[in-house]
Amino acid sequence: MSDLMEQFAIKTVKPLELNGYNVSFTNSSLFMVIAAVFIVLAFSLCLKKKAIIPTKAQCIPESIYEFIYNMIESNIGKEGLRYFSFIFTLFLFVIMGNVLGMMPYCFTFTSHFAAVGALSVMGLLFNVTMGIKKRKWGYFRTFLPHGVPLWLAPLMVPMELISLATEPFSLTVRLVMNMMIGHIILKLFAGFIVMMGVFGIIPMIFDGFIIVFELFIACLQAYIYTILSCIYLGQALNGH
Amino acid sequence: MTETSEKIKELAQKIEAMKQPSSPEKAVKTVSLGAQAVRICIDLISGVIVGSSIGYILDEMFDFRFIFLLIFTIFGGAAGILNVVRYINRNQEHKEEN
Repeated sequence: MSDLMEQFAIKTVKPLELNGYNVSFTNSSLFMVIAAVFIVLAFSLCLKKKAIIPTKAQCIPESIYEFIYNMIESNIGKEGLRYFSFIFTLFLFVIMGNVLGMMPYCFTFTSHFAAVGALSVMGLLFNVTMGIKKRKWGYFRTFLPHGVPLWLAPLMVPMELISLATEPFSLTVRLVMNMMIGHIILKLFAGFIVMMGVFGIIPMIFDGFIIVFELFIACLQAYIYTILSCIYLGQALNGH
Repeated sequence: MTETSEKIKELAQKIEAMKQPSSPEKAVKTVSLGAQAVRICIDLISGVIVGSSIGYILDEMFDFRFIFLLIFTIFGGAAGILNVVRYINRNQEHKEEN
């Protein structure tokens, strides 16, 4: 059986170096670009003929738009709609990364800590920046909630800071682990198909079910990632 | 005629229902106990990992042996518990609201 982790290997497509740092264009970067280009192309094609009574193709981007709109409205409120483009892009990028990884010969960039971690940290920086922009110095009250005596500040402030830093970490771990484990199980059963010869039909049927389940997980995890990002943004804007 | 007006009424009700912001949180609220347990575990562990990582980096920076690592691991554990308590409280509030 081939190495189960081989599918996650980063391969250099175009070697690049910047100030002594390796900034090569890898298979992960390539699939990120493919995901972004695919989203733009699909949306452009679906929205080519804009009609008041939407066509079937127009319904797809419109329903995604409405879905994200409602998500933001119920988690952050009307003022959260200012950040619609950020949440919308985040959702599409993650779901496309997850689903693209399910296609044969495609690479799942959402199964890498570096890629998702960078996205989550950028999300955290965005939340903090928007929180400070909106609430000015009031944002820093988050680190010492109301009702907490001042003498507890040396304990509460580091705890709240670490609590803030765990947000991108838990987001990343949840998504990466789900994608990684799903793909490992898929490959494991695919290996049994070859090994078991004629009886390989049994793991093959099982693998089919796992593919469907994994597609569902890919969408669900993108949804969870986005909704948690919404909740964290809402906390930054409105406090706990 | 009455049939048409009934249909219009039905359609109006459907439009009103669509106008109500659907709460995606409801989906999160109804997640299984297993999913909740996974979330709690991740929150707890990530607190400790982030805390100990910060401690380790500070120890390396200031050339201490393990003082910051010890302090920040405890802080990280406490932060993890704080996150879990907040999550449970939020869930409890939602349950009471419903």
